[in-house]
Amino acid sequence: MPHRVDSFEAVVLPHMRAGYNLARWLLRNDHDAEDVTQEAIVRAFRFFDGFSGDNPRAWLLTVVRNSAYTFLQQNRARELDTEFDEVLHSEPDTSETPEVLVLRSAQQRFLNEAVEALPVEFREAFVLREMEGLSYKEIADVARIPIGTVMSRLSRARRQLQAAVARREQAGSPS
Amino acid sequence: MNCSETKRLIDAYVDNELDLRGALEVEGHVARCPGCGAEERALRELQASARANLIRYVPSPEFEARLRDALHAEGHPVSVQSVEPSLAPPRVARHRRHAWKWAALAPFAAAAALLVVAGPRLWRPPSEASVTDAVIAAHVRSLLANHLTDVASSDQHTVKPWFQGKLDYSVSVTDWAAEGYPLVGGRLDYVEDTAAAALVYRRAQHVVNLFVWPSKRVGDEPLQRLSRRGYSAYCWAKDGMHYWAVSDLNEAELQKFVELVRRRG
Repeated sequence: MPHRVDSFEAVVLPHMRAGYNLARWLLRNDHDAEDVTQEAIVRAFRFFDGFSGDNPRAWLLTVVRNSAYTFLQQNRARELDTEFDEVLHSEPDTSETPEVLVLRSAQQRFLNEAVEALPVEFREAFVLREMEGLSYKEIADVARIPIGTVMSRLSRARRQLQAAVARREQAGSPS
Repeated sequence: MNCSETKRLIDAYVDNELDLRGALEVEGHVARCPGCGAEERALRELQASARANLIRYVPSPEFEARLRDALHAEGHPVSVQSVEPSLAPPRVARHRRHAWKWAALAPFAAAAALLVVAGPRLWRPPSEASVTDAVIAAHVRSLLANHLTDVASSDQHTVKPWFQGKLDYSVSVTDWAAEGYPLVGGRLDYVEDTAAAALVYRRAQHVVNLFVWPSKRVGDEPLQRLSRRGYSAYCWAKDGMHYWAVSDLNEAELQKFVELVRRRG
């Protein structure tokens, strides 16, 4: 089936990294993100014959997103509660090398941690918008929600991030 | 438009998702109301900060090898080249667990290109693919959101000065109405966190966006043709500037447009 293989390689695989990045942001660790991305890409390959759209990137992101949610349901259902949980913070990642810690500015680190602490549905909308540059319509298709919900999730994500920044500035913490 | 309506729409406004009428109303209110003006600036700051600072995670080279094996098991043939282990130097291989963290640091993108070594055929270099995606997304956004131009004018002497003060480089603007590609206006856009001038041209019912921004690389780059999602793009670099022409025009007509632009330079 050389035709099918060539097209999968040419059409879908160029978006593998976008898919991995989304999985990593949804799952918040390398290992689970790799497992879920692999599973999603294999599944995409199996169902590739059924793909007839003109936006393979959004399609792959949808498959990755669904696999990530299935994984969360089976392993970390608590994280799927939409209500913002002030106590919920990502497990601190202690594996960074000193060089990375020095290089990455305090602001950069803070923002990444604040996005990681968002509820998964807000985080998803924010990452798809700001990192993948998807339109509201595309985010609605990937997450299977109405455009109005995209708007409100994005808006709430941003308000929570702004509030986190404000709290940090008030606390006067240097890092 | 009042404050509470503006608050409801302001996210869609900064995301260029409002239609022209809605955008103008929000713009008018924001210009008059200090509170909503501050809100708009705060949102744009957050957006710029997110685009510059959020980590773009990259899978490990081992993952790519595992993925190829998994696809192979599903009947996807694997070329000999792509099965070869990572070509990354040993020092990098030892630190591969941290490779993505380095790769994620935007200012060190060049280093990332060295770290993330991939099979030449199976994986496209990420930077080129993501610029293509970003440029085409910018083109599509300009059509969908009814936000084609910030300055609507067919007069090149109006469009060029409009960009001055908004960009820290100068863009030459030419109207090709006589050749069948009239200038419609200009727009400030962003490609990969860089402010780019978007010059908008029309050809019959089709729109051509010509994106121009300063090149970080030294030297000119030859003309390349790419296509994605039904749009065609030509890109090249000349005299320190990147040029991308994007449209759904047919091949020959877009090519003719590109020749006009390149001949002028």
